[in-house]
Amino acid sequence: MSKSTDAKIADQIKPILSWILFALGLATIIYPRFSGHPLFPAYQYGNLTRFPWWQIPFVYLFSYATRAWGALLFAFTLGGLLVAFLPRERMKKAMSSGKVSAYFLAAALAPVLTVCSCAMIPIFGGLLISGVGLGPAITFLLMAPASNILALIFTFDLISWKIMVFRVVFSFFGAMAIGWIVSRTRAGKKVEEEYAGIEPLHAEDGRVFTFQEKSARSASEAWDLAQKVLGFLTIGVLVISYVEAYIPPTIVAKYLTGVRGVILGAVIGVPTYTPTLVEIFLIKAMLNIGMEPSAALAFLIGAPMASLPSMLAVSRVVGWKVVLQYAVLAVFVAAAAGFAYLAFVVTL
Amino acid sequence: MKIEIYGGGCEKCKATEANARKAVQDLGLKAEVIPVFDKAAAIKRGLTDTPALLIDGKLKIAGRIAETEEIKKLLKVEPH
Repeated sequence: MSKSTDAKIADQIKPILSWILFALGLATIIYPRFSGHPLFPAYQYGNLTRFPWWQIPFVYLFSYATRAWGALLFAFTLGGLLVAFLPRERMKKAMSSGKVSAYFLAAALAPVLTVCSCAMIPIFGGLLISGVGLGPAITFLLMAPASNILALIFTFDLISWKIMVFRVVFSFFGAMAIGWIVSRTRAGKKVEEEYAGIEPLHAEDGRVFTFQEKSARSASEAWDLAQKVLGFLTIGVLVISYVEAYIPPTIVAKYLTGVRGVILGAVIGVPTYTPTLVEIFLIKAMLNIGMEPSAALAFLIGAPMASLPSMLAVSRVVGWKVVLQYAVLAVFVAAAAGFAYLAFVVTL
Repeated sequence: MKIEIYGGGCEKCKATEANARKAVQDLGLKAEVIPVFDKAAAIKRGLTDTPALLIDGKLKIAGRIAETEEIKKLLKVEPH
């Protein structure tokens, strides 16, 4: 019977724990903005090449472990709370209420509605068959990864608030424009017809969760999210340490700056698959060795919108023609964001 | 009786499938548990939140892991 008492204790602790960890994560992000120094000491590695080659990945990983654990904690707990507390059904209904408002709502709600790419395609499909059609569905599909709330937190925390603002604004309007354009093409109209007659099913359970239950669920969801992200992130950071240590800054200065930098930044995202959040750590390393912020911004918009694995998954639903159309347009939007940054802001 | 589970094959979908099998076994029912881990098929069926649990074609629980006890209750209510 000891197992069931253990389980009961866990039920009691979980709801409280999720809020405590959320507050701690939030504090580690906000405190440095006011005080100018981090809440907990972070390890700075200085120049990576002063370490022997085999130590570099560990030094780098250790540095991020001390520097980014608070932001990660905040991101995972926030992700859990969003899944458990947001009225998803109501939000989905709102998104499919009108043809024009659907574009705005899809773009506005996408950042918080999915923290896991797992749920992206079902919601995309939901919009597709809800009567508002392919346009808002594509807007959602592009905005969700390009301006995901977790990605935005890390863009802000590791890179800069200006890059974050540009990332949101350009993906917001870009995703709406791309959705509208693709829905007007012949391939887009064919997809709309294909999915026109499908009736969305509604769950009959109607179960109402208490605050306590939702909080407990948020803890489980946060833990799920952490497990999903941390493995890839650890491997990603280990690999990225060599990028920062060994890619010659002269090459970076030649290719990833100016107009050429923006174009390359927008395009290389397509074949470079970077799992959730890894793209931000990669870009941070590239910025350290001389990539210009404008090129970095182009990558941060282009890569998540038009990454090959997501394109592959979406093509199973709407076919390759529609996918290619939105991917090409996404690269243009990414480049436009980079050029705007290059023209008006320049520095981080 | 037919229990269908739709999803993209993520952990939550697998957990739901396992819970459904456990519920069927615990109740000693002769029910078929059919996992359909194909997102395109889910959309064509009108399912917009996964994992989705359907009993005899009716959507019962969507968007979260269905617990074994919940599924048992649903199966008991359902006439055979």
